[in-house]
Amino acid sequence: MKKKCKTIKRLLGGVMILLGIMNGQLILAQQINITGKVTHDQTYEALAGATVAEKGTSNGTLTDAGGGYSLTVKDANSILVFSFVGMESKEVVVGGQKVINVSMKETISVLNEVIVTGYQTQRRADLTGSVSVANIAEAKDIPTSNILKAVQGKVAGLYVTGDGSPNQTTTVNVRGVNTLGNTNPLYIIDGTPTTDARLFQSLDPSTIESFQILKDASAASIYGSRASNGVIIVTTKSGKGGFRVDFKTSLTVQEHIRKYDLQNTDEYGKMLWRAGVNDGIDPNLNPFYIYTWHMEGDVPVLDDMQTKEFINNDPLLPVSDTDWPNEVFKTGIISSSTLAISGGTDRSNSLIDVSYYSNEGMVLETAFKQLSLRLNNSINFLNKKIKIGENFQLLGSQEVPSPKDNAANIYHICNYIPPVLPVYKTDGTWAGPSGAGFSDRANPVQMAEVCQYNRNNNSRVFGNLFAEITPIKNLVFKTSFGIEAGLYAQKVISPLWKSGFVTGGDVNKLDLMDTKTMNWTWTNTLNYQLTKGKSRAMFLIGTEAINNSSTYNSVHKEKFAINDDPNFYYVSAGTGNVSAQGTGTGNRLLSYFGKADYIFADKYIVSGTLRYDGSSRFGENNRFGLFPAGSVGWVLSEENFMKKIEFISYTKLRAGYGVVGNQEIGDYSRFQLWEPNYQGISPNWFTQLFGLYQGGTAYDLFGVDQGTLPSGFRLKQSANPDLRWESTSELNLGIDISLWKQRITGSFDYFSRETKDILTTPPSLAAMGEGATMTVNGATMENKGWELVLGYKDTKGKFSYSITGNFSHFADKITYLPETVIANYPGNLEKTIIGQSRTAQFGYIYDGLFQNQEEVNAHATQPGKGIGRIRFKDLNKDGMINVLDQDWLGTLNPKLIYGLTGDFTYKDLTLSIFFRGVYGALVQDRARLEFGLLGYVNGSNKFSSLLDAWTPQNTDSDIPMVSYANINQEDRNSDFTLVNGSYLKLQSVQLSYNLPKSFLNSIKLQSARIYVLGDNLILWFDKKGPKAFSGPDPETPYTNLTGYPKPIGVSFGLEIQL
Amino acid sequence: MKTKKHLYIAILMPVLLLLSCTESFLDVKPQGTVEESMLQTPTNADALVTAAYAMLNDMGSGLQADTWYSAIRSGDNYKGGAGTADFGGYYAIEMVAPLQSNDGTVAGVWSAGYNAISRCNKALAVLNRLTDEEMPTRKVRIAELRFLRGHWMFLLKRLFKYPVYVDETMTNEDILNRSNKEFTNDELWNLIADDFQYGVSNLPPTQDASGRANQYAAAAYLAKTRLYQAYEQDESYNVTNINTTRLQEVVDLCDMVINSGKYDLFDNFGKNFTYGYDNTVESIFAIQFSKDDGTVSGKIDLLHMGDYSMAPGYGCCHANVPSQNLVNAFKTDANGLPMFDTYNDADMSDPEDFQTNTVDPRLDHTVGIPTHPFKYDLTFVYDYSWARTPSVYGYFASMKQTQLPTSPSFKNIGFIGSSKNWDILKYDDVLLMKAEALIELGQQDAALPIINKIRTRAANTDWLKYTDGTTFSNYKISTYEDGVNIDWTKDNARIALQWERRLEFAGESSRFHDLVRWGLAAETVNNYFLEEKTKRTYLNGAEFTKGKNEYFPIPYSQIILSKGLYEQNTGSW
Repeated sequence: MKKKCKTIKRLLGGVMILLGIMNGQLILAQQINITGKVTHDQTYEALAGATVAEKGTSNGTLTDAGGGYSLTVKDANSILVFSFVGMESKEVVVGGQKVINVSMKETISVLNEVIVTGYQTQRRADLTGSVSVANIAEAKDIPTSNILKAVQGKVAGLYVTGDGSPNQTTTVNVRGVNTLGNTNPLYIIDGTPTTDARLFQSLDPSTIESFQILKDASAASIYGSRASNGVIIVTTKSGKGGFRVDFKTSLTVQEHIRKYDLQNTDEYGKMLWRAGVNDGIDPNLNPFYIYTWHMEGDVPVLDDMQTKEFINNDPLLPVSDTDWPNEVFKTGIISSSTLAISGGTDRSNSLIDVSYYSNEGMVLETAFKQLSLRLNNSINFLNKKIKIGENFQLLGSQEVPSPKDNAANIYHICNYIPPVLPVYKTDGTWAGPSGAGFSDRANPVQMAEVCQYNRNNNSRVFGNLFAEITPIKNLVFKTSFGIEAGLYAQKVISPLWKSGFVTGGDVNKLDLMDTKTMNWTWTNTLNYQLTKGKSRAMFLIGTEAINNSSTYNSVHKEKFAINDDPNFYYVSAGTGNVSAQGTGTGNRLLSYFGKADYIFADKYIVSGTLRYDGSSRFGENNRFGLFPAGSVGWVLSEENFMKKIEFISYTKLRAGYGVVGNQEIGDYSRFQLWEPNYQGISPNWFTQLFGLYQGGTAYDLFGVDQGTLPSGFRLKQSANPDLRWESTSELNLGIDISLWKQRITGSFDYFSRETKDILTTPPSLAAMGEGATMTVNGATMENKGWELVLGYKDTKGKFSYSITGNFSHFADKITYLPETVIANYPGNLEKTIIGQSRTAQFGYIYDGLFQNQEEVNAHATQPGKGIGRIRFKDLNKDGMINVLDQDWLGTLNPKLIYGLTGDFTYKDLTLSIFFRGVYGALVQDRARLEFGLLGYVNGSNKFSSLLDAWTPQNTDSDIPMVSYANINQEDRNSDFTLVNGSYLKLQSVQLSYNLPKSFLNSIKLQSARIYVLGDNLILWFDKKGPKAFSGPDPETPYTNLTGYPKPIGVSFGLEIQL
Repeated sequence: MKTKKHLYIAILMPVLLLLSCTESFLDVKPQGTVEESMLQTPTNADALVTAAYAMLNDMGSGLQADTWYSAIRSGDNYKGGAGTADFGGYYAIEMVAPLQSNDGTVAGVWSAGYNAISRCNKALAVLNRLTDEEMPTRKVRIAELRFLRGHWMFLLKRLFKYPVYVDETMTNEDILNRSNKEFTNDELWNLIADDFQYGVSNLPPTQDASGRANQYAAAAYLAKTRLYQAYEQDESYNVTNINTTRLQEVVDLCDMVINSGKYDLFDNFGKNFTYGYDNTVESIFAIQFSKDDGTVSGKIDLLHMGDYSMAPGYGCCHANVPSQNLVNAFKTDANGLPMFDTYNDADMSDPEDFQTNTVDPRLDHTVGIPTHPFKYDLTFVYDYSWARTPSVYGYFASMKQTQLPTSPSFKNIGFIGSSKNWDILKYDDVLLMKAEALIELGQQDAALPIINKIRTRAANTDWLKYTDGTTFSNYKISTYEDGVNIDWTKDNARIALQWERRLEFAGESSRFHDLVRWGLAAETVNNYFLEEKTKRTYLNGAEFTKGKNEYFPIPYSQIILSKGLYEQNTGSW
C-alpha cells in the first residue's frame, strides 16, 4: 500500500515537472552554480514548484519534486528570492555559498490574509467594506454535507437556520431581512454567480478553501443588481505546495433525544374522561375506555378506568400503549470520506478530490447520499503571460425523503397518532386508525414502508473555465466561462396502501418530476495595478453576461399491475390514467462594471465601484440600473501620533456607502400572460398532496365523463412594463482594531440600510377577477444593526488558547407600503404593518382564564367564552371582541445572535468548544396549539401537561379547560402561543490530537490527526416561566409539524496526509 | 511582439462580442403562454367560453358556493369532521355568532365568484369584437357566457346581498371605482335577470353539448332570480312586500320549462343522486364532472369530498353531517304528512326509532343511518364505526352526493370524489318554484297538485327494500287532500310548501337561502340552536343575530382594497 502511494506520488510529480520544463525558459549562465533544497519550516516537507529567482534579473528556476533546485547566478553579490504561494517570500545573499537550503514560512498575518472581494483579491488591510471571513478550518469537522450548517453561528451577520433532516436544508440571511420577497443571498463559487441555494449547499465542504461574506453595499455593489441580500463568495482549493495526498474520514452517530412529552394510554384515557365530563358528554361514548365515575356535589370524580380489550370491537386490534416517536426514530449514522490528491509547481497546479457522504437519517428509511468529484487545474504559458485553468465539480446525490401520509409528514404523525393504537394487528398486518376516535392520519411506521421507494436525485456539473492573460506587467485580463447544468429528478411511487380507514387512493401511481437547469456566465475583467512611491492603485473593469434557463416536466401515471416492486414502476408499465405537465423559464443579465482603489502610504484608502446591469426581467423602459458605491479607510495606527500608543498594534476606521439591487421576481413578471391550463393550479401544499387543482381551463362540455376534454385559456397575470430594479442603499461604519501585538483583535460594524421600490405582487381587488395581479415596485423597508467580533489569543509555553466571540443585531421596519399591499400583511384598518418588522406578529391579547361565571359575565361579548376558557382583552373597550381588538405582539427577530468559540491547545492536543444562541427572540409555539389544547383537533395525542389543565378544582393552571370543542377559537393569533424563543446551545465540543512526528515517521505518514466531536450537545432555554416554549427546542419551533428535529450527534474522525 | 498582438486580440474579442449583442440578448420571451392578440379568433374565442364553463367544477369556487354555506347555516347539517377545528374555516359559519368580517373562508368565496365572472367577461369582450359572419355560433356563446355570469352573480347576490356588479365593458380602472352600492337591491336583481333573459331570447332549446346551458336552463334560472326578487326586504332584511308581478313572471317562466315536454321527474327520487342518470330528464343544468381525463386526480366532484364517511372504501371525512333536527323533520304522522309542530319533540336516533316512527322515504335517500344499507347497497350497511367524531357530531352521515365505492364514477385519491354530475337546476325545483309563486299569488289550489306530484314520486321505495320486501325504515307518505287531511288555506299551503322544499332539497344548497328569502332565517336558526345544543353541546355559543347574519359580511380585505369604497352590510360587523 505504502509503495503504491509512493508510485502515484512520483508519477504525479513527474507530470508536473514535465509540464514545468515544457514551458520554462531556462537561461544558461556562466558564474556561480547554486544548489539547495526548499522545505516547509514546520512540516519539513519539500516544496516542489517554488520559485527561485535572482533578484533584479529574469533569471530563475523552479524546485523539483524533492524541493531541490539548481541555479547559476552572476556573482556572490546576487540575491536569491524564494517565493511560493501562501508562503512568505525570502531573500538570501549568495555570498560564498554553493548550497543554499531554505525553509519557508506560511503567511499567517491576518492583515496580509488575501480576501476574495469579487473579480479580484485584496489584502485584508486594504479593505474598506464590511467583509466577514468564515474560518473553514474550524468548521471542517462538522458532520454535514452543507457548508452553511458548518458555519452556523460562527460569522457575525450571517443568520443560518435549518432543521436536522439528512438533506440539511438551511435558509440563510445576511444582516437580516431587507425585502418582502426573496431573501436568498447571491453565491459566487470560484467566480461564477448563482442564486440557487440548493446548488451552493451541495458544495463539498472539504474542497472549500475560503468562505467570505460581503455584507454591506460598498463591498457587495460590484455584484450590483443581485447583491442586496449580501454576497457569499467561496473559493475552492487548488493544488499547491508539493505533491500531497490527504485522506479524511469520519463517522457520526445521531440520536433524537429532545422529544415532546406526550401522553401514554393511561394519561390519554384520563384526558378523554376529563373532556367528556367538562363538555357534559357521556365519557363512556368512546371506543377505548370504560370509566366508572360519580359526582361529589358538582365535582366529577373518576373511580376507575379500564381500557377496552379491542378498538371498535375489532378482534385483531387490541387497545395498546404505543410510544409512536420511539417506533419512528432510530439511531442515525453519518459517514463521510474524502480523498484529495493535489500538487502544484510555479507553472501549474492540480487538485482531484473525491468525497462520499452518507447520512442514514434518524427517521425510518430516510437517507441522503452524495458523491462528488472536484477537478481544479491551472497551467501557465509564455512566462506566466497566459494562465488557463478550470474548476469543476461533478456531483450526484440521492435522497430518500421524509415519509408522509396523505397530508402530513412522519414527525407530525408520530406525535399525532394516539397511543392506544398498536403498530401491528395481532395477525401481523399493519394497524391503522379504525372507526370512531381517530383522525385521518395513517400509521407512521407503515408510511415509512410505503414511502421507502421515493427518491430525490440531484445530478449537477458546475464550475468554470478561465484564461488569464498578462500582456504587460500588472495588467491582467481574465475571461471566465462558468456553467451550471443540473437535473433534479423526483420520483414518487405510491403503491396501494390502506392504514385503517385512511388510504392513498384506489389506484397505485407513479409521479416523476424533473427540473433541468442550464445556466452559463461569461465574465471578462481587466485588472491593473500601479505602484508609485507611497501610492498604490488598483483598477478593475469588466463585463458579464448571464443566461439562466430551466425546464420542468412531470409525468403522472396510474395503475401498475405489480404493486410492491419498485422496479416495476416505470411510465410504460402503467396502464391507467396519464397526465403530463411541463413549463420552461429563463432570464438573462448583461452587466458592465468598474472599480478603482487608491491606497496612500498604507494609511489612506479610497475605493469606488460602479456597476450597470440590464435584466431581461424588466421592461425596456427600465431595463438597466446603475449601482454606485464608495468607501474610505483610514489606518489610524499608521499615524505617528498613534504609534506612540504602544498597546495598539493596529486600528483602521472604515466608512462606506453604496447602492445594490434586487431582481428576484418571476422571469416573466412584466408580461401579460394568457395560458392554457388543462390541469389547473394547485394553490397550496395541501391541495398539491392530493392533486386538488383549481382554476383549470378544461371542462367536460359533452358530458362524456372521460377522455380528452375541451380546454381554453386563462389570464395568468397582468403586465407591468414599468417594472424596475429594487434597490438598497446602505451606510456602513466600521472599525478594526488589534491590541497588544494582535493578542486582542476585534471589529465593529454599524449599518443602516433602506430598501426602496421593493418588488411585490400585491393582491388585486377581487372584482377585477382572475389574473389581475401584477408585480409592482412598492414597499420601502429599513434595516439597522451592528456586528461585533472580539478575539483573544495567547501562548504560554506549549499551551496556547484563543477565545472568539461574535455578536450581531438587526432590526427591520417596513416604512412604506402602497395602500393595496397593506391588506396583504397582518394588521387592521386602525393598525397597519407600517413601522413594524416584516416578521411582526399581530393578534389578540391573552388575558388569563375565566375563573368563574361572574368573570365570564363581566367580560365583553366574546363568542365561546366560558369558565376555564381564555379571556382575550377588549382593547378598544367597545364591549365586543372582534378584529379591532388585535395589536402588535412583537417580532420573531432575535435581538441578539451570538457565538462563542474557545480553542485550547497543549502540545498536539486541541480542545475546541463552541456555544451559540439567540437572545430576545419570540417564537410561535404552534405545537402548543396542536398538542397543548384538546379542542384543536380531536383524535390526536396530546401533551402530558394537559392533565394539569384548568378545572374548577385546579384553578392555578394557565392551560384552558380540556374540551372536545374549540368554541372559543383559542387557536386564533394571540400572544398565548407567542413565547420566549431565546436559547443557548453548547453546539460542539471537539477534542483532537495530532499524532507526534516521531511516530508518524515510523509509519511513513506526513501528518495524522484524530478527533472526537459532539454536536448539538446541551440546550438551555426558559422551560418554566409564563412564556415558556412548550416543545423541546425553540430553535426549531415547528419541529414536529413541518421540520425534522435537530439530532444530538457524536463524531469520530481521522485525517491523514500520506 | 507578435505574441503581444495576439494577446490584445484575445482580450478584445470577447469584449466586443459582449458589447455588440446587448438589446437582443436581454429580449427573453415567455414560454408556454400566448398574447391577448392571439385570442381574437373564433376558435380561440370558443376556447375562452370553455374556460368560463371550467370554473363550474373548480374546487375553489364550487366548494365555496355550494352546500356548506347553506346546509350548515340552516340547521340541516353540522359541519362535522374530526372535531370543531377540522375544516376550521367553516366553524364560525356554522356557529354564526363568531363569524367576523375578516373571515378567510368568506373572503375566498367572494374572490372565487369574481374569478369566475372575469372569465365570462373576458370571453364576452373577445366575442363582442367578432362578427356573426366570422363566428356563426357567436350569439349563442354570448348567451351562454351571460348565463354563466348570471349564475355566479346570483350566488354572490344571495350570499352577500350587495356584491359589486362588473361587466365586460369595464376596464380595471372602472372596476376600481365601482362601489358595491352602485346599484340598489332591485337593480342588482334586474341586472342578473337581464343576463338570463338574454339566454331565454338567444339560446336554442337543445344544445349539441349536454354541458352547455340551453333556453330552458336560462328560463328556469330567470324564474329563480325573479322568485328571490319578489320577496322585497328592508335594510334589516325583513320581508316587507311580495311582488306579485315578479311572482307571475315566475309562474310563466316555470310553465315555459314545464310545457317544453323536455323535462320530467324521475320515477325514483334517488336517481337524482346516483351515477348513471346524468344529463337526463330531471336535470336542467348541471356541473359536469369527469375522471380519467388526463388530469392527475380527474375533474371529479370534490365539492362534496367531505360528505363521505369513514366506511371501508371511503375513509374521509365525515363532514356535513345531517343534524338530529333534520332527521326528525322526516317524521310523518298517522296520515303520512309532516309533523309540522311536533316533529322535534322526540328524537329518531336508535335503529328501532326508524321502525316505531313513520318517516318520509326521502330520509333514506338523504341520510346515512346506522344499521341501514347505505346508498341502496344491501351489502354496504352503515356501521356505527363509520362515524368519525360521534361524541361531537353523532352517528348520521350525508348520502345524496356520495357514490358507492363500486360505482364506475367513484374515485378515491385519498379524498373521495366521483364523476357524478351535480345539478344546479333540477325539474323538481322548477315545480316547487312555481308552486311557491302560485301560493303567494293566492292560487294555492293550483299549487296543490304540483306539491302532490312531488310527494307521489317521493313515495317510491323501489330502492329502499331488503330482498324480503321489507323497507329500511317504516315509510308512510301521502299527498295533501284539502278538507281530508289538511285545510288547504294559503297559510297552510305555504307551510306545506316550505316543508316540502326542506325535505326535497335537504343537504343541498337551498335551505338557508330559502329561509332568508321568506324572512324566517333568524327565528328558525335560533330555535334550532336552542333545541339542538341540548343534544350537541358544541353548539353552546351559537347564535344568529337578526338583521345581520342573513348575509355574509363584505370581506374586510376587499373593503381595504377598495380604499373604503365598498360599504359593509348592516349589522355592525
